[in-house]
Amino acid sequence: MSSIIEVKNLCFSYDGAAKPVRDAIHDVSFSVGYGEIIGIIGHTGSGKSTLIQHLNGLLKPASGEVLLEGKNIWDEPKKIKDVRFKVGLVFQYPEYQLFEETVFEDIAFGPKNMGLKGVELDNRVRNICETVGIKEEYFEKSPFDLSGGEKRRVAIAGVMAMQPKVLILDEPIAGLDPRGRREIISMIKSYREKFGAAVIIVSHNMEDMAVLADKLLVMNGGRLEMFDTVYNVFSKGAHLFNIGLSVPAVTKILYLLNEKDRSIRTDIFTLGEAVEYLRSCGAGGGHA
Amino acid sequence: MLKDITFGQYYEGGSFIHRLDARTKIILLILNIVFLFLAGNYYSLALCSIFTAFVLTLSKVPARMFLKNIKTILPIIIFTSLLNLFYGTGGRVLFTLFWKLTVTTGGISRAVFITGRIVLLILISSLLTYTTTPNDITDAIESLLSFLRVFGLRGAVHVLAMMMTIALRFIPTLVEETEKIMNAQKARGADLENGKLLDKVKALIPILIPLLISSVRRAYELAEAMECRCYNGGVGRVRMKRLRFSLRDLIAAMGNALCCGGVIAFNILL
Amino acid sequence: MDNQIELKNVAFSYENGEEKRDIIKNINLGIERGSFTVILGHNGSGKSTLAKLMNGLYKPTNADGTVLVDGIDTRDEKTEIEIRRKVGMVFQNPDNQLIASVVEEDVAFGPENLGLPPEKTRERVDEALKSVGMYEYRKSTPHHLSGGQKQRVAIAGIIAMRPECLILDEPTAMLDPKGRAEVMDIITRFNRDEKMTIVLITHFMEEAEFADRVLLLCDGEIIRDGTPGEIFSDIKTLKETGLDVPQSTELLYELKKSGIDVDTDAISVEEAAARIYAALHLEEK
Repeated sequence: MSSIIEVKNLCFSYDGAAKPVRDAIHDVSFSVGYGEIIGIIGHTGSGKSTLIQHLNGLLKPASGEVLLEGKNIWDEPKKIKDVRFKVGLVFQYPEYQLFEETVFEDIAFGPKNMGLKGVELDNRVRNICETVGIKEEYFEKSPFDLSGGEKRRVAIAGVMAMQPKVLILDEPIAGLDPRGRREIISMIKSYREKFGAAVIIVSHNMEDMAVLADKLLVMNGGRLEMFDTVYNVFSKGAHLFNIGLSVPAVTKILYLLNEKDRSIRTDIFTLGEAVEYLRSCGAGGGHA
Repeated sequence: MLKDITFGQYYEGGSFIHRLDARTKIILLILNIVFLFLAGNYYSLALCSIFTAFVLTLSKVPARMFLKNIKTILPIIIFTSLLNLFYGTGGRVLFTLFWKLTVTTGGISRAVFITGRIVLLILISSLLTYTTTPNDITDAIESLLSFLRVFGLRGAVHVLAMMMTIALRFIPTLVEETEKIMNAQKARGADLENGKLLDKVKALIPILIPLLISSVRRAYELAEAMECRCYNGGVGRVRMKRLRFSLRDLIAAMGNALCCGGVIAFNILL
Repeated sequence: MDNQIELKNVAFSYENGEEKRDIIKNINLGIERGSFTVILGHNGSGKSTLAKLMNGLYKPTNADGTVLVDGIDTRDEKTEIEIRRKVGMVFQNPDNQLIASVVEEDVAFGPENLGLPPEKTRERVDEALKSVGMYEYRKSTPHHLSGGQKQRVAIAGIIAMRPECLILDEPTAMLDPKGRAEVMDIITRFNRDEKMTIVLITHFMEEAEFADRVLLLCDGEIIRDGTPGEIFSDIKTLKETGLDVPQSTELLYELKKSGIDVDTDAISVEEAAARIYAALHLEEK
């Protein structure tokens, strides 16, 4: 068994006027392997958030199925709660869900719901805090006294404390400054390394996606437009522009340079590689 | 589920009733309720029924919408009619159930009468909410209550109207926010459906606290935004939307008066 | 120089029990009429507080600090409304700025408070909604609009008061790229076509591209003041203050560091491409 989570022919639509039709999903299939980092991109209303809420059973497919380690998550609807411990979902602006008196208690909320108690619970929380770098001096603080970036870290740690095998994050770095962003990204990476979990990240930020993700899943109008390696997806720049998406800024610059000089490569997506490449163009005294 | 909650139940349309001034509709509704209670015999009640049926048809709101409202309070209707059935006196004793529960013709007559009255009451009240947007109702209430100004209560009326406006604006936002928080806590394994009553109450804490905090933050930000838009507690505020009575309102009022006159006449004459 | 807003020795601090925190430390600043100023600062640099000082929502906490709007002191309670009308303010979260559940009634809120006759208000509401491209949504409820559309309605609500100056406190922070572009487009248009004074507070450097002047705020102090070109060429300082540097600027910076002679004062991809093109071809010769 190579994939941890598999989606087969998923269809869903919200009924009633409360939600616009545009958040529906039509016939989406894909699978995610252990330890992979998948980026989901798509403009607002393309069905991204609807899709991720199916993966942990918050929404039930109209048709099609979601398989977690080969087993349909809706085989036993009564046990759907267990699926949520295995597939951790961090919503956008997760700091707004904090409610406990202390940081420690808040992080312990998920594990407690799993039935952990006493030493086991204590270890679980300490373990995750150590992994993601939340220091012990924070444990007894009120989460509401923390800065925005710190709150976000505590909230994410609260989901990680359940030690899910699949970690899904919706716009985890939106609204943070560069330092806050770096911290969250390193937190996600540490978690994946330690627990071998698959990570799914929804983001608008193509630059971060290029650095972080192994594969990109492109949603458009509720359909899966592309699901491929970062290289293959970003190589189809024109197609992405057509569906209202974009490529990293360095790639855009290379496109512009390429318009003037056809020999310039456009298949570079990260800052580091772009610097390296452009330097070689410059240092070589020519670029042909 | 939460998403089914809609505040008000406006049914979009452009009928004669829809286009009436909201103030007219509120006043006529009150008048109708009074006359429903004044209707003292079957003839006047029948007149009220005919009139109600007429305005309901005029509104072009589908009958099923009204039936839905009747259905929700069906238990109350059944309860009151049973009560009247057994406790109504007069007329011939038809039969006796159990111990002393006697059913008389008078009881039946009373039960039918009361039930009819309640049903009409609901129908005519839902007509207001179906044909008038919550905004218009708010504006109409503010305008109707403005006479309180004479008693130096202008501020109170304005505050009431402002509160209603803000509530209308924020209810959908808060419903959506509640849903988001619920989903976030469910994703952390919170169990909101199962368990004993105490567990259920406890399970609300992770939802209510974040909701409370965010509502306070919203209130604070909204207050600042209102200040920035020169809000001054309503002093010197002139509304853009002017409610205007038209010929249509006069016709409606006259139609209604006719019905009310009929009720009085039937009460006395028949 | 004709200053719309003038800050003299302005400080702002608040006391939380024992602790006293200085948010703004002695700022002297003039905002020229008709200019487009961008204030850049990281989270917690005091930029929101600075914005609120500019329209009198907050008053300086030091005795000798004064904020003048068109020469009027914001401490004067009698002129409060006048100042708020002149200096309109748009906030980050569009949801928490809209008051009515019908778009046009919300936009009317400002003019209504000013006591304008209904016909005048109507006129201004229509005009303001048209100027932000939301006229066809005038009967909608804000709840059904996208974030960008809601923010445009919020801007219309301020524009309807006919302000001379518009202060925007991170108006795009909660929007998606499309909404962000829509809002930025409106802001630059108001400055260019209406000659409206704009003060845009943000932590996205990209948004400073069309500004006349960029201020860099760090821990309550203005540490840099110059044209976008001047500010952006100093990427080291920008990064040190914890600002978001656009990738195109960062690319130029990294290229320069690695020994390529390239001008680093660009933010947009177009400018960056032009700089790199120039640099690479120069080296060829």
